[in-house]
Amino acid sequence: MNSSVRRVAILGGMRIPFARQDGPYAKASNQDMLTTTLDALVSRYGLEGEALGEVVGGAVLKHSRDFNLVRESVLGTKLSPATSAMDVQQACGTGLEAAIVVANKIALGQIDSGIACGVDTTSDAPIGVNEDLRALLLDANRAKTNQQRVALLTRLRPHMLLPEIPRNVEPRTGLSMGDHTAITAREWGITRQAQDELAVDSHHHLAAAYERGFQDDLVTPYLGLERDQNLRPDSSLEKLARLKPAFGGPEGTMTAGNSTPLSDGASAVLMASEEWAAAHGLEPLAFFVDAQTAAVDHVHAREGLLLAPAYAVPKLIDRHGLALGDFDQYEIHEAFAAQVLATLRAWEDPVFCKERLGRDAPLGAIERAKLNPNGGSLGAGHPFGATGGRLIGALAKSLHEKGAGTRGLISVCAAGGEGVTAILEGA
Amino acid sequence: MAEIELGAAPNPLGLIARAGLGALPVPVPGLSARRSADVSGDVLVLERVDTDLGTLAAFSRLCGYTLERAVPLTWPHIPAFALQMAILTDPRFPFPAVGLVHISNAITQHRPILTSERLTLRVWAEPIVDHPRGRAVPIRTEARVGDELVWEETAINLRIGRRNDAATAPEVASSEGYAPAARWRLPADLGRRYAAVAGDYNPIHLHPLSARALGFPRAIAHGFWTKSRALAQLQGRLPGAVGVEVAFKRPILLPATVRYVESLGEDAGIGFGVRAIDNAPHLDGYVTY
Repeated sequence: MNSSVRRVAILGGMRIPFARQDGPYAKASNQDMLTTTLDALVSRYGLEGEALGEVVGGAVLKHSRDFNLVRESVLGTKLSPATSAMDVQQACGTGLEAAIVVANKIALGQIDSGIACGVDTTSDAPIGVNEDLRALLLDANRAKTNQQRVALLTRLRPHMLLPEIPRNVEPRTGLSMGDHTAITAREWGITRQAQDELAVDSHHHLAAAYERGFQDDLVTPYLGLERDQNLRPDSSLEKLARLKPAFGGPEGTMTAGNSTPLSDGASAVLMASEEWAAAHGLEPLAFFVDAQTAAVDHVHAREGLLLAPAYAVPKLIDRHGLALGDFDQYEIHEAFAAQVLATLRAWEDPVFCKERLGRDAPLGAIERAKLNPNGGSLGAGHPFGATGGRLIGALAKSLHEKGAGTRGLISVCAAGGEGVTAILEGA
Repeated sequence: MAEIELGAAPNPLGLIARAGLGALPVPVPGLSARRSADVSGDVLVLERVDTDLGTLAAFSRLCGYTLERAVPLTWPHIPAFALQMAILTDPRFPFPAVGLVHISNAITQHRPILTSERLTLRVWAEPIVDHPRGRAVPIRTEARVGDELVWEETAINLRIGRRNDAATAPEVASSEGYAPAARWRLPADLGRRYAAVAGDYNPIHLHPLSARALGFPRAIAHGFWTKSRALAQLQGRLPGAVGVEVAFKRPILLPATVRYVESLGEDAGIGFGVRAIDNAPHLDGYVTY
């Protein structure tokens, strides 16, 4: 048993441009997008024929036939078929959670190299059989006599032909994620103006990142798309101000412009021990330092559905003796501009920090110029399982540019009142 | 040899109808039955062929290919198929298209073709040659990106006739003895599904009744689907520059369960095949690189 813990290097990220729902990837499956992305990473880092320790990843919206999605994708790539793979799923935290699994295995010496990946399609979505029909079909399968089967036929009703389509709704509250966040926005007094500003920044920062070539080795074109389809470099406050509220009723502050659209895409991150990286002539961009998840009771305690990262981050930074302001870059997933702003507000709020986090002083404010400086989900789009990989790949590269020892914080909120956070350090 | 530039791909359904009329025992006005022996005439050229992503996705799904940045190895055959049909159904073509048997198909890909690349397709018939079982017509297809030749195909069609014991034909190594690697369950409507994607509405593939009218007990799987399905098994394992040759053996009567067999032993290439459960051969293939 290995008793020492090794440093985990992040060697590079890769993704396909993110498409809007029913856009250019409408006919592409999760396996198509994931295989393409993995192969682009393989080709970028010369991993053809390589047997990696493990490929870990997942999708949030998954057809039952995709039970072994990551392994089946690996088998379609140029990686050695001797590379094992597994699926994980934690809603929008899937991609980051996959990286935590790979990092932990590398740290403990169980594997020397691995890929964390994620994918989602909202276009090629799994449509299920109506729940009543499903029950009927299963009963028919269990029936032993023809008489029983005929009797079951009489239970067939026209409504059973309506399919079950996946919905963006919290199972225990019946509210959509947008509805939940509208409540959070109201409670924290997040203004329309502040949300629109964050959205414009997200588009402008991402457009600038493409312009300066930052994305060149992070994004590979796919099915006619070279940049994220959702990206609007000419986004402006005036344009966003014209949009009608999408959540929170007629007085709501959340619009289609300051909420992420449903999207399709995939991402992957190559991680390894320092020895493996050196042996393969690959230079670490950053190190995966630590991670922390948290969850809130959004059902009974009326906590913000997407505010769990507000709880995870203090635990994470305390463990390393860091203050919230000690980071050179913050990558906070923008599910909704309101959720990002409410999270920042919570860390600045003495009452929240005292009563909910049990701290004598608030965590404080962060320098806004350090927040999502290369764009966020509002600009890029957010294929659920792919966002974690996008964040890690871009942050690792950015920290490498900033220099060894620089620190980055990743924070991702997820359905079910969960949050996943991590610290990276520039190499 | 004249190059004929087409403004758009011909409609394969119309060509199939023409093939059907050409097969009638009586001459049809305007579709003269006068058939010359010379087919090494025209080169049909279709420029600016963009990959239709919807058709590509449907083709990939049906054959088992992953939809990646590069098109599948057998893809350019699909946009070129209408040109091939136009040659085969040309009134000057010496044999009626109905009754020609696709007996072998060789593809060479010089480099991967990205879905975003625009192709120029050229199709022509080579001179007819004697074959042990009759007369063979090679149909050649080339795909270029700009001037660069990226992909080529030779499809040999056999007009079964008088035996020519002196003639020889290129052979593909038998897949007998290769290891079973996969089992495929092919549905009864596979031919109709493939026809809808590829435009090959030859009645022998569509329905038991239309197949029976042409001498088959049931509808048979398209040979090119079978080849594509086999190469989908190898997707990701092949280099970008690759050649693949297949010989079509016994037709697969639909529906069917068949075995895909493979021999990965040799350095120079991969042998593969499609065989019935009782090991009767449907297809022998060989990949070289």
